[in-house]
Amino acid sequence: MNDDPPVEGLPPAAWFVVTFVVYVILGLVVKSTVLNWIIGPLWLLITLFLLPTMVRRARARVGGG
Amino acid sequence: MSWAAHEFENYFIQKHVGVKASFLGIVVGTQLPDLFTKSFVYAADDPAKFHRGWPGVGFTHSLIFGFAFAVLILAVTKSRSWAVGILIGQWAHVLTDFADSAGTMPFFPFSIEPVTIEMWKHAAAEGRYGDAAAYYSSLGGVWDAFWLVVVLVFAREALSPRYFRTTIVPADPKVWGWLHRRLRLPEVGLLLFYWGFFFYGLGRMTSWFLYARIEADAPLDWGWAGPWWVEGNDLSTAGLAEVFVRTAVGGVLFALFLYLCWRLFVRRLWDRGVDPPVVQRGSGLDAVFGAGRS
Repeated sequence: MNDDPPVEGLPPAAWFVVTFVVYVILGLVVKSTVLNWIIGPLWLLITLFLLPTMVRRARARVGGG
Repeated sequence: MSWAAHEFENYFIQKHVGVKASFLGIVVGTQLPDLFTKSFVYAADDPAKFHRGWPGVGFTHSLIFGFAFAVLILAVTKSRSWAVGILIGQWAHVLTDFADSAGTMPFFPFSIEPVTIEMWKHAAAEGRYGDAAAYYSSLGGVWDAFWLVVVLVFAREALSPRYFRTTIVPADPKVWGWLHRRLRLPEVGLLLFYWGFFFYGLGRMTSWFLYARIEADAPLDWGWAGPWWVEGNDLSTAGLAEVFVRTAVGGVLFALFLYLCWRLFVRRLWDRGVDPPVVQRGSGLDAVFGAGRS
């Protein structure tokens, strides 16, 4: 039985599929921009954590202002 | 050269060394041979010779290069888990690249004879895109898929959040802790970063395969030493027996060299090196493989 606590803020599996499809399509269109050792390994972090965090913060600021 | 195989093998290695090597050390090790050289390879007059031969930067694809880098890291950082990670990561890269037609010089400088099984053609002479089209039209692409399956079958556990918590972070608490504090990344951010190398392997394998099929319209050739439409890049004219003898002599000399280095100074560096609190190392191979938890 797996009694590990879940990882807080982990996006649902569907988001992984979406970001994968986006990555593959961008890889076909702008090859050297995304298919490299910097953007490639950071893609998940950027699209599933950094961008959503920035959007949430921006929304909160707009909503609070 | 291998492409996504170098990303997938990180997880397979990690699963077999557990807490005894840093995952990020393994990643640096597997990328090390191409890190300083790949950008220049496509611009070289003879890309295969430049990339894998001597004279050239072929020494980056030798076992001694990983050994020297690992010893340097051990001397500077005193981190055993990073030194071990870099060593086995770089050695895995050298062994993986055996498979293309240019091969590698594992025992450089004791033997500069390239060792290869010529599964597919080293196609850097075609430029980056041409190289990708050739690789993903030959057994190279199958090699990537093979490593993907190997990870999913034999090292799937290494991709779980539980493994990340219980093995990856405890094997390298300083660096993961630094990323957490300095970059303010919570656990989910660190986990996504950890998964990122697997994702990159899968993503670039898929993109380049589709590129080869759709844009480059490259014919598939899954026969040995394909694809047929790329010129060969064999760096040696030596026969099998000659390659075997030179490599065997080089291997013996390399082993002697390692032994001498160990006796002269590496053992001292290893003894003053430190391990994360959770790691309990044995001797011999047990210092690298196995559970090794205190």
